[in-house]
Amino acid sequence: MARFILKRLGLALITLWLLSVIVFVLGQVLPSDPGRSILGPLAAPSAVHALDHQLGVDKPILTQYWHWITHFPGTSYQYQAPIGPILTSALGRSLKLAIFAFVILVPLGIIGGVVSALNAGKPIDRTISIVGQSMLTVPEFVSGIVLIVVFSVELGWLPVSATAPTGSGFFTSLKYLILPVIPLVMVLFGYIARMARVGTIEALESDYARTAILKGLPRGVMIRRHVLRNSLLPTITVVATQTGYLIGGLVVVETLFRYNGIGLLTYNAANQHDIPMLEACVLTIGVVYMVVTLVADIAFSLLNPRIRLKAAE
Amino acid sequence: MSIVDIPVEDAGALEAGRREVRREVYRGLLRSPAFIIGSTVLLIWIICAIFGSSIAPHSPFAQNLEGINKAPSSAHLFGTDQLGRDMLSRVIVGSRDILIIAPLATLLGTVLGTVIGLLMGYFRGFVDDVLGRFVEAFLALPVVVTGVIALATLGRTNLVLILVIGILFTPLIARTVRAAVLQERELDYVAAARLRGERAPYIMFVEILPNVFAPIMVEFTVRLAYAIFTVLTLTFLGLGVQPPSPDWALDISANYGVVPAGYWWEVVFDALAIATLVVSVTLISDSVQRVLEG
Repeated sequence: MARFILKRLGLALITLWLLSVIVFVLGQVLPSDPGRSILGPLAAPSAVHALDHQLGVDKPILTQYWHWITHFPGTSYQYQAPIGPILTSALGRSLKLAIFAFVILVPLGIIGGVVSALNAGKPIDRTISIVGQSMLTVPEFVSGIVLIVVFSVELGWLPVSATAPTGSGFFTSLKYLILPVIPLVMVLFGYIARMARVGTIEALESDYARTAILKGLPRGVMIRRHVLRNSLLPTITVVATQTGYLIGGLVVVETLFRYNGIGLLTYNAANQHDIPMLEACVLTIGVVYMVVTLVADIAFSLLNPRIRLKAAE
Repeated sequence: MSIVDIPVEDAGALEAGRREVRREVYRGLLRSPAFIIGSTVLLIWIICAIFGSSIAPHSPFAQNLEGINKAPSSAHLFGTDQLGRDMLSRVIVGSRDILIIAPLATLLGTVLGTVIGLLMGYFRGFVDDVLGRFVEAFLALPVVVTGVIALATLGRTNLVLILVIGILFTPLIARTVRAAVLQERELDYVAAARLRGERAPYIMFVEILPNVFAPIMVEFTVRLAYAIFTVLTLTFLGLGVQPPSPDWALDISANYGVVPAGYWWEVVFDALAIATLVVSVTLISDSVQRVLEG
C-alpha cells in the first residue's frame, strides 16, 4: 500500500514539474516586455531597461525559471505587493463557493443517477440523461445571466452580486452565494448523475443483488443495504475529478457575480498582463486539482479492498 | 508490398458490408427524435450563419443613438442595445463566428488527437509513457484556465482561439483514441498485417484507423459541444471573439452590466440562442453515441 501511495506521489510530482514548465513557458517566454507594459508606451527606453533588470526578466530563461520557482509566488505587477496573501484570501473565498456548490451538487446528482438507474430505459431515465447532458454544455454565464434576470432583477428575491456587505453573518453571506452556485451545480449535475447511474446499474446486476432478491428481501431494503452502499463509493471519488471543471466554472461565475475569488483574480491578472500573478494563480489551480485527485485516488484504493490487496502484493 | 493479396470478390464483399453498416447507422439516426430535433435546430443556426446578413431585418452594426435600450416592440422584435443596434439582427448574425470557430477547433483537436492516440496506442512503451505524462500535465488544468492564460499571452484573434482550443482538446481525444487502439492492436487483422510485413504507419492509418472510426466520431460530436462551450466562455471573459462582432457571448459580456437597470432583452435572447445551439449539438451527439455504441 505504501508503495502504491509513494508511486502515485512520485507521478504527481513529475506532473507538477511538467505543469510548472508549461505555465512558465506560456507566461514568461511568449509575451516578454513586462517593463514596457508596466510603465506604458510613453516611458523612456532607459527606464524600461532598468525596470526589466530589476524584475530580472532580462536574464537567461533557465535563471528566470529557477528564480521563479525559488521565490514562488513572487510579487504582483498590478498590486505591487507580494502575491501570497492576496492569493490565499481569494482561494479561501473560492473554497467557500466550491464547498457550497458541492454540498448541493453531490446529493442532487446521486439522487438523479439512482432514480435513473432504478428506472433504466424508461422515459424518466432518458429525460434525466438528456437534461443532464444538455445542462453540461450550457456555459455558466448563460444560465447565470438568466438567473440574474429572473431572480434578482424581475422578482427581486436575491442579490445581483455575490459579495455580501462586510460584517454580515454566515447565513446572509450564503444567501448572496445562492445564485452563483446554481450555474456550477447545473453544469456538473449531468456528469455525477451519469456516474451514479452506471454504478447503481452495475450493483443492481451483480450476483449479491440477485441473491438478496432471491432470499426474499424487500426491494427497498435490498437497494438501501446492498446496492447503494456499493454504488455510491466510486461515485463520490469520481466527484473529485470534476474539481477541474468546477474551477473553470469559478472563473466565469466569479466574473459574472463580481466575487473576489481565485477565478476573478486569474481573470483580472490575464486582462492586466500581470504575468507573475497569472502564473501563481494557474499553478495554484493546477496544484489544488492534483491534490484533490490524488487524495481521491488514495482514498478510493484504501476503501476498495480489491485495489488495496492488489497493491499490497 | 503485401505478400497475401485479398481476393477481389472478398474485398468487394467487405466494402458492401461496410456500406450496409453505414446505412444501418443513418437509419438508426433518422429514427431518433432527439437527432431530428437537434439537427433541425442546428440547421436553422447554420442557415443564419451563412445567410444571416440577408435574413436580418436591419444591419447588426447600424447604430441609432436616438433609440438606445428600447424594449422589444414591433419595430425591433428583440429590442435594441446600448448603441441602439437591433438585437434580433445581432442574434441572427451572431451565430456566424461561433459556428466557424468551434467546428474548426474541434476538427483540429480530432486530427491531432487521433494521430497522437494512434502513436500512443500502437507503440506503447516509451512513446506512450512520455506522451502520457504530457497529457496528464495538460489535463491538470481546467481548459478554461489554460485558455485564459494562452489567449492573454498569444493575442486575441479567432485564429489563436481555434489553435488554442484545438490543442487543448488534443490530449482528451488522444486518450480516447489510445484506449480504442489498445483493444484493436491485439486483434488478428493487425497481427496479419504485421506478418505481411506492412510498415507501422500503414498499419496505424490504413488498418486500425477505419476500425476506431466510431469512437472518434462520438468523440468529435461530444467535443464540438464542449468547443462551443469553451469558445463562448472565453469570449464572455473578453479573450475570444472581439468587437464589433455580434457574437452572442460578446453581446452578453458587453450588456450584462445594464441588466440591473431592467434591460433584460439585451442578454436574454443571446442566452436563449446559446442554449438552443448547445442543446441541439448535445441531442445530436447523444443520438450518435447511442446508435454507434448500441
